[in-house]
Amino acid sequence: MKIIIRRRFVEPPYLKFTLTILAIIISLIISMLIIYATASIPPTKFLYSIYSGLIDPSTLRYLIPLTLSGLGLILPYKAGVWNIGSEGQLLAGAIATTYIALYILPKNIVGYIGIPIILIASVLAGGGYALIAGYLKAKFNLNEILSTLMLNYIMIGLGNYLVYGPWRGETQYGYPRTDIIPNQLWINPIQFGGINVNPVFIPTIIIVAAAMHYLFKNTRIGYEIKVYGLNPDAALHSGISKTKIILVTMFLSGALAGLAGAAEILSIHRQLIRVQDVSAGYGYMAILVTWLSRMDPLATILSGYLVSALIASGYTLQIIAGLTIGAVNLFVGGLLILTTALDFLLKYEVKLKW
Amino acid sequence: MVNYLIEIISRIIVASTPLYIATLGELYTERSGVINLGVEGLFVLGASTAFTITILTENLYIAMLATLILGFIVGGIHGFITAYLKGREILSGLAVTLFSYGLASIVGRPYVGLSLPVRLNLTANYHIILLLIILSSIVSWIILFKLKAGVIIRASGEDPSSAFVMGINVDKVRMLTTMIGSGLATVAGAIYTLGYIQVWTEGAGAGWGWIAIANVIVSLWNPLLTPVFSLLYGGVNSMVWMLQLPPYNVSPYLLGTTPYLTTLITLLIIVATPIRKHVRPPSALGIKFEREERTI
Amino acid sequence: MNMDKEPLLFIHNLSKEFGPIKALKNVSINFRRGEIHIILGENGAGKTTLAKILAGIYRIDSGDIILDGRKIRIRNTKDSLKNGIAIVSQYPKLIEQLTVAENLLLAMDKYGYLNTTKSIEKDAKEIINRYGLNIDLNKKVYTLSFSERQRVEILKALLLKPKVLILDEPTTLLTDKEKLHLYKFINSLRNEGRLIIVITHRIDEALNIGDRITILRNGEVITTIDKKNANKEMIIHEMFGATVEKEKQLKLSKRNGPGDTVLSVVGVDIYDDYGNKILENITLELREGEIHGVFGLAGSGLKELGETLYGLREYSGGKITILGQDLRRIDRDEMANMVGYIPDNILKSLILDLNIEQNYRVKQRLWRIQENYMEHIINKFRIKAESLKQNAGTLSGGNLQKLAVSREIILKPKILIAINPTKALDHISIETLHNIFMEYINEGGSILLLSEDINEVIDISDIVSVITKRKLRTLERGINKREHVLELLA
Ligand SMILES: Nc1ncnc2c1ncn2[C@@H]1O[C@H](COP(=O)(O)OP(=O)(O)OP(=O)(O)O)[C@@H](O)[C@H]1O
Ligand SMILES: [Mg+2]
Repeated sequence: MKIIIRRRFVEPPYLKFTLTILAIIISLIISMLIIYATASIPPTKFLYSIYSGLIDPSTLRYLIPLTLSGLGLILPYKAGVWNIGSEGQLLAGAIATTYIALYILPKNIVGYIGIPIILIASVLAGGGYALIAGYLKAKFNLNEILSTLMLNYIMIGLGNYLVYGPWRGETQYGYPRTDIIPNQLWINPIQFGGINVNPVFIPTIIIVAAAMHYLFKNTRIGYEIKVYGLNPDAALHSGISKTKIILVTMFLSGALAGLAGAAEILSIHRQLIRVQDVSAGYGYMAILVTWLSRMDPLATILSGYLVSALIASGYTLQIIAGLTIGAVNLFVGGLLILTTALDFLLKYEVKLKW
Repeated sequence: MVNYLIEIISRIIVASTPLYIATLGELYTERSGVINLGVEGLFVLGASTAFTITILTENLYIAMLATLILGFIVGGIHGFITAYLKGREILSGLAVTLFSYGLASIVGRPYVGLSLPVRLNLTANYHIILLLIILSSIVSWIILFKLKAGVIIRASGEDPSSAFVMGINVDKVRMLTTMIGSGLATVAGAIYTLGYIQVWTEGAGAGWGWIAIANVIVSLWNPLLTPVFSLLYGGVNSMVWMLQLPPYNVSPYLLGTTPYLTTLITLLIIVATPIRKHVRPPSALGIKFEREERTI
Repeated sequence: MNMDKEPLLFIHNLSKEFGPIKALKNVSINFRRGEIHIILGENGAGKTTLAKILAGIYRIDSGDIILDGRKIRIRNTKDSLKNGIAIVSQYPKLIEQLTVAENLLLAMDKYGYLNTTKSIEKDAKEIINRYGLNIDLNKKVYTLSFSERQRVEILKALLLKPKVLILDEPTTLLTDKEKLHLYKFINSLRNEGRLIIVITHRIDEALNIGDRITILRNGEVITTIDKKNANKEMIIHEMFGATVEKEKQLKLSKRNGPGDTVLSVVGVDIYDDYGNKILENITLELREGEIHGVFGLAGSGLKELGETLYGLREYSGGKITILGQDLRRIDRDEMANMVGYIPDNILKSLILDLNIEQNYRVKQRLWRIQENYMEHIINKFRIKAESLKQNAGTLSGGNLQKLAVSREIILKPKILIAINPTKALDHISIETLHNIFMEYINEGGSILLLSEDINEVIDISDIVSVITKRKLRTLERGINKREHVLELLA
């Protein structure tokens, strides 16, 4: 038998889509087997939990942070800038939100003034935090993967220091969490077609996705980001500024992650709690969201939904079988492994010949 | 006083050993042109697997060996994707890390909180360990810079297409060095639980792999320099907790950031001072090798 | 002598495709022991593809390779080397960061993983002495000049003692003297009974050194002829087929005299990738409406000079002024608008994953360019493409070069900096480009032509500078005769 491998020069239509579906199916099967072998959860139960995750409206709860951060990551990833720091940027947004809500705004401020101020602050906090790594990369060529990772851990430490220390709430019976932010700053879900929908962040996601779609289709800066990612030398030669691309993409992705942090505080927790409870690794899962969509902003909403459903079912499994969030990591990692592996078939044609 | 000093020194050495081992492995991998972000997850996986197997078998050697083999296999996934499938290596590495995190948690969970039936006593043998660290870094230097094996590895990392023209199977070299690096990462994780923290909790060892990857840069891709930051880091890691006690009373959460701050600042010193002239990553680091790539 | 006529290597119906490009179509050639066999063809004919397949670098699509009467399978470079086939690539394929000895050790399969460079030293020194190669084994390759690197390649080939030695455009980077040396050398190898395959697009070279010549056009073998029966006219006809139509003679017609200074360099030091000073105290001037040709050998610092002037490298010492502005104050955006730039390797300025149209739009000022204007440009530059939507990755090298040049001068910038714009182009493509350059000059542009091709510099420049020994010297205006240049070089 001979295996013939040839480079592809034209990508067959729908192949990307097919491979993504294939990756999802295979990794489901693998996770099912591993979980069966180690925790003896029968496949039927496993599949049922996935199914319930997909139709459970509470899936939308994870969709917001995942899709916002995932959309943000499209920008640096298209430019070949590896921002792995969504986690820290999200937390920066959450911390800024709490700070403004509890310590800056007057207690009786009205929601439609207070909330926009908070959102702007979270965007600046997340974006600004990402800019540290962006600046270090642009100026000193410091590896952004490592700097964003280190900054994640630093923000995690800082957040926990705050909730265990100076910000610990007076009304919280000594629990590590801040006081609850004023009522009028909460963002409460509204009923929409029988399900609970977040009235601020769901529309935000749709608007951001549409804007990014437009950005990459029609604007110069979108094109420059793409060109820089494909061939940095060519971009440089054509007058595209490396510094600009790095700073812009890092800032925007950090800003969207920061917004996700604000969303978590304003619509879910209403106070800052231990950071591992604010974000259970959403910043890392967002990477999967971005890649499953193949960096297409509109498709990111779909992949965001899918990954959220997986998390929701992961929690179901946790309850019924006493698994930890580790099971979700197994699945997220497995899916990402398969996506990168199957990409091979996009670039190469493989034929078997007897 | 002398005893106290010795105790401190031995603790520092023990704390630096896992980092040193993981760094050395990643150094081989990167010298051949591959970045393996999976090292982080593999370290955590090694930590949990070694713990569980030791509890099950009460045998440290079986635990270490099994951990090593698991590292070869899981790390091999990353090697295969980058070397043979030409996949995106940053993603693939992150994916392996997430996957290993998950696996580690599943593997270790039934035994969380149990204490080890047998222990790896490193503290008592700190001088032997120090000797081994120094010897292995010298041997690695000889392998990489004197022997043909090293010439092959470096050639694959500097200019894979020329190496291929000279008959080197670059894909295979990269696959092998990734497996070696991964195996050393899991073993480092094993030593971390068996010899250093001696218990296992969810997430034990997280973060060490990232530091190891940073340490490769700090060591300027030279095995002779890998012990330096390893020991510094070991020092910070094992000493900084004292600041939690009176009269300092620093928050443990703030202290928890010191390893990362130390690493970030060290990286910054390396790239922002004249030392930057010596920062010469392998020219093809992170760049895929494709034999039919167009040259013009 | 009869033994020399024996067939050694026979390739049968070899085909290779790169997506839509059929680089080789059912190629069959019979090579004999003890001959110098030339593969001749224009750009994109498929010569390098053929060489790379024999060397195991490219995968083979279909066809057979028969060596010594036995069918062999070449899946990779190792297979090829095991069968005694060695290649000297068009541009030296050595690992720059390693020493010469390490490169040799790497190439020698017979030494195991635990060997050190000591193992090859004796053999290498013997060959160095026997052939008078003058190579220092302990130097890092990046410190070597290109002709030294080529000698290392040859030393490497000799250590391998191949049955078949393939040389891909071996003289591209050599001076005349070095060429003669190489020819002599090839001859002596042939006389040892080896098969030497030389790939070239230079007809004179083919006639000068070959025993037999195979002409390749569009991936097909046109014919194999004995040198005795060949002449230049017939070869041109076979090489270019019906496409030969005489290009108009260069329009060297009177232009306006040189105008104002558009680019000036005073006392500047220039550095290579490793931070070593490669050019010292450079002073240079480019005036409006002229071509200033700078000649230098490969590795002499031409590339670094061009990149520095385009603002891509750090420099020290004096001052560089472009259109009245200090280079250090010009940002990338402005630079791309004021100056056209052709890098030493066009893959640095084109994006192969995008189509032709998208490649034009990479330039800020071409962002909104009309499609029919682009089509007009493509025709004018004779870029062979099916449509604007064709992927750049599927164009041939010559067409890529023309695409890059056309994009840079479409907007008629005041200055064009071109590094080896015609390197490795065949003579028809070169003429097309040179005519385009002339037209651009006549419309008021100015070109800094940095070239390793002495004839190109002398033929089309108004004023000539020469780089030797890290210095740049400019000949008096109007004096650009070959002898003067050679004199400076000596
Ligand atoms: N790796 C590759 N990927 C895609 N296309 C390729 C590749 N190598 C060669 N080609 C295409 O195959 C054709 C033949 O190219 P080849 O390099 O063999 O030509 P050549 O005869 O060596 O020309 P030149 O004189 O320019 O060196 C060209 O159209 C080229 O664009
Ligand atoms: Mg060629």
